[in-house]
Amino acid sequence: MVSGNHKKPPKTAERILKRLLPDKGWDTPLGDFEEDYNEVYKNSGRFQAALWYFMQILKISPDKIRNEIQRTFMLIQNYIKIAIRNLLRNKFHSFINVAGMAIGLSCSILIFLFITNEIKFDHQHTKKDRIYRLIHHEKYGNIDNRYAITLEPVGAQLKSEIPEIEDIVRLNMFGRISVKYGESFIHTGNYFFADDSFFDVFDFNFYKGSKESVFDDLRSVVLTRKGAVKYFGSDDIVGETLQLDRWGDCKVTGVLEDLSENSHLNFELLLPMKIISDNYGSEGNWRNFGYITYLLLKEGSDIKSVEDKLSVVNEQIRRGDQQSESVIELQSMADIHFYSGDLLYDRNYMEGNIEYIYILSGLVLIILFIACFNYTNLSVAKSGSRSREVGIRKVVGAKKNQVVNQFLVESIIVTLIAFFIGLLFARFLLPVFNELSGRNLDFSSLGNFDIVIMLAVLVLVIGFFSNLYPSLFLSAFRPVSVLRGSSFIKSSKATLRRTLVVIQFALMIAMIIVTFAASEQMDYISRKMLGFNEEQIITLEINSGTIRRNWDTMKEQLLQIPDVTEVSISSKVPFGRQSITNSKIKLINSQNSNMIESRFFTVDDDFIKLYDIPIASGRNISREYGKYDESILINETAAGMFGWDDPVGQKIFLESFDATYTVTGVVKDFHFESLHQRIAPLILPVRDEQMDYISIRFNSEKTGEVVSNVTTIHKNYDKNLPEFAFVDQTFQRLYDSDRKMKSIFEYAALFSIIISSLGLFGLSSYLIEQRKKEIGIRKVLGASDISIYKIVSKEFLYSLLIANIIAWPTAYYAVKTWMENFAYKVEISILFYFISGFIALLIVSLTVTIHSVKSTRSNPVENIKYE
Amino acid sequence: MPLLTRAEELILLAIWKLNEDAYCVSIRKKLSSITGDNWSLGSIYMPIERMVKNGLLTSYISDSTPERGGRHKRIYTLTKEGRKALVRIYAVNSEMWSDISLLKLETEK
Repeated sequence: MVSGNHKKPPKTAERILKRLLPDKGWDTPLGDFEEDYNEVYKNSGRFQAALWYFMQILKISPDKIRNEIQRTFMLIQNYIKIAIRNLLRNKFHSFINVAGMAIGLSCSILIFLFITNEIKFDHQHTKKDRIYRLIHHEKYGNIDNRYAITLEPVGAQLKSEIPEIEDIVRLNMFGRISVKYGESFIHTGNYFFADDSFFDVFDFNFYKGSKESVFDDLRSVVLTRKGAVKYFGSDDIVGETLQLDRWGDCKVTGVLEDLSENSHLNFELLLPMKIISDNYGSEGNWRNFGYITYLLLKEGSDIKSVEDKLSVVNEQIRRGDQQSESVIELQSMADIHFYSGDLLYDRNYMEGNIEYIYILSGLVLIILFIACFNYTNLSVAKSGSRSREVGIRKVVGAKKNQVVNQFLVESIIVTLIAFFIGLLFARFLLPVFNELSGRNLDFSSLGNFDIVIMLAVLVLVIGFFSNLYPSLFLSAFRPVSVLRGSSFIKSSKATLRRTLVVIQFALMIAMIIVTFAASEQMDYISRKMLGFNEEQIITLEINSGTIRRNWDTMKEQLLQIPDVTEVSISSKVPFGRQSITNSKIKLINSQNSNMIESRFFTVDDDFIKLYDIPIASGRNISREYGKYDESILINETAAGMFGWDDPVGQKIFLESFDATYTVTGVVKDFHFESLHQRIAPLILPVRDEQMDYISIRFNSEKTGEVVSNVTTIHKNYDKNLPEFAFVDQTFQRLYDSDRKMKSIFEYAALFSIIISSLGLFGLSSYLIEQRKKEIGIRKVLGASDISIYKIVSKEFLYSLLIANIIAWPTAYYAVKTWMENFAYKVEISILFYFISGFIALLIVSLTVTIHSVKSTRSNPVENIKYE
Repeated sequence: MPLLTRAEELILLAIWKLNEDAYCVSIRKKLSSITGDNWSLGSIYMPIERMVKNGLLTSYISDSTPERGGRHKRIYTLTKEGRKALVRIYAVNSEMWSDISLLKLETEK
């Protein structure tokens, strides 16, 4: 036969067939099939032949598969039986393994819940993948700001120019609104003006009313159930009227189910955008900045091509300024939660930080790693007692991979038991965890199919990895040597075990160090000198022209309140609700005639006295000297940036006010924004307009009294209730998420330390048990308890020393990386490294002592006669 | 030892007739051509395996040919037991057929 005519059957099919057929070692049946295949090929063509070949596989499969399953099932049954016997026989060993795993898994389940919750942020909106938020990126000279808001007409303009855009929604907050609340009015910032398309783009569930008709009327309002209860005392209020101070009466047309905590959009009231244009006629005004704008792209749109077309509005947003390079950018819905840290004027509910997600994931891995390590360690340490079993199994015909499988089944069972106990733990710990994390997590998401699958995979993976090494190790035993009782593996086993112990110690020590560092950094931030005295200052926002007009009188009255020591008025306050903005400025008499930019807010002459901000050079602004209205203070950072040798007396042109000021003094740097950022250059001009905040310093523990006195005075000028803020509290709130993370971190570290001590406890008890005979003989020969203790602890101390050498640089690096998030870092003293090492030493000595005392106390005869 | 089944009997006869060239494909072809039915490889494997197990057949690995993709053939031969079983079934068959008229079988209404 000519071999050129020979046809090979399909490769995959051949491979499958090869697995299914008997006659291992020889592939004669494959040859048979290939011969027949060629014949069919010759007679009926390629397709028929291939079909025939596959049919052969189908014909053979059922029997084969049934056999295979039956055999595997029987084996697994046996594995499970043996595993349970082993678990019960070594109760202590099993307890340590299960407990360690369970603690580790319960931590992981909680953190896992937290992470999935964070990742599923904004997932309620079904069109989330097509929704983008516009970012207004202002670039001008050294100015580089990204805003979450943009100009009013940008959205509409883009929609008319870019065909891929299906819809746009704009949200706006026109300052704050004053709403009828009980007998008086209350200010709320928890609302939006929204375009009619709002409910088409985003998904919100209606409790009463429907999305089609809610904004038909100009004066309509939608409330959430929470909002409805707050303002009306009931959630069945469609048709009622809500009184708004500035915007008139609005009819309630819908009530929404309470909003998910998991959305960046959060509000109590929703008003139609039309009201604004009706009141101000401002539609299409290119000077009107302040609109959060979302684009909904058509399905299948290419985001790149949309981004390219965004430049159509460049001309308008730059207002014809040649130097301006401002652009509009897109932020995807998925990025809003995690990547909005640098945005100005962002109203982002429960804003997240992707860094924390990474840190937490890392923590979970470390904890699980330690738990797996315990298992591995103990199993390797105990491998001697299992070696006979393996030997016998091999003698009666077990193959290597069957032995491996047996041990893996065993560890998977342990993991599974631990998982259910861990789930129970997690259930009990959940309320505590919610408190810590400030979230409202529940177990319902664990029922989701994908999460169940993930957890199942997790259990398998952990079970697999925790016993992978021991099973490979054990299955490699040669039955002859094991059964003869030879100890050919002893030395390598000891090296391995020591390595494992060292790694476990190192992890524990590193964990302690990192925990110390993290809490130091957090304490540092909360203790840090802000550069001013933030205690006992209350601030209130001015929402009434009457106050501004009668400020001098009101100030006098406020100063009359007992215990009030200082009163000041300013346009912003440090850590206030309103963020501190930039102005373009020009330095007069300077080589550099370009506009530069600096943060600014206006103050009066009492401001820096009240906040206790020290003056570095020059003097405070003061009415005693002339030209009070042209005085300005600058901070040290600004002085440095402006590059003046002697700042006092220099002149600054402030574009926002179109006025020139003379520097009277330089104040020491103080913090007025997040400590994550460096202190920015700040200038504090005097100006009587735009005053939005009153600050009051008092000198008393009776805060309530001061507050009620201020409220009484405030009532004379403004019918709205005043909103108080305590500067120290607002500052603390800024670091809320940092503090929460810190406590989660501390607990996780605590658990990892517990888990690794558990492992250590088990390991040391086992190692000492192994040396029982040796200890017995030593005792018989007259060794003292102390000398025995020395011998036993030597191995552990040696490992501990090496572990420190490994752990310190690792922890140092980890801490350094984490600290890079902070502009102001605490020095982590080397002392903490020693303390951590010492804590580890303490735990080690404690466990070793317990065990060695136990073994030295026992009668040596008992130990020696063993076996 | 129970009597051979028809399939076993036919396979054993085919192997005997094929002499030194009795491997699965040739057996299959022989049976297919004589009976006019299509015998599949699978329908031959099962009885052959059974008979090997029962000691009626033995096998050895022979040369490989290019049309088999370079794979070896497994050649089957009858053991003494196998031959005995054939002799026995022949006796049974001829005894059973001895006084039966084929003509009558074919023409009876």
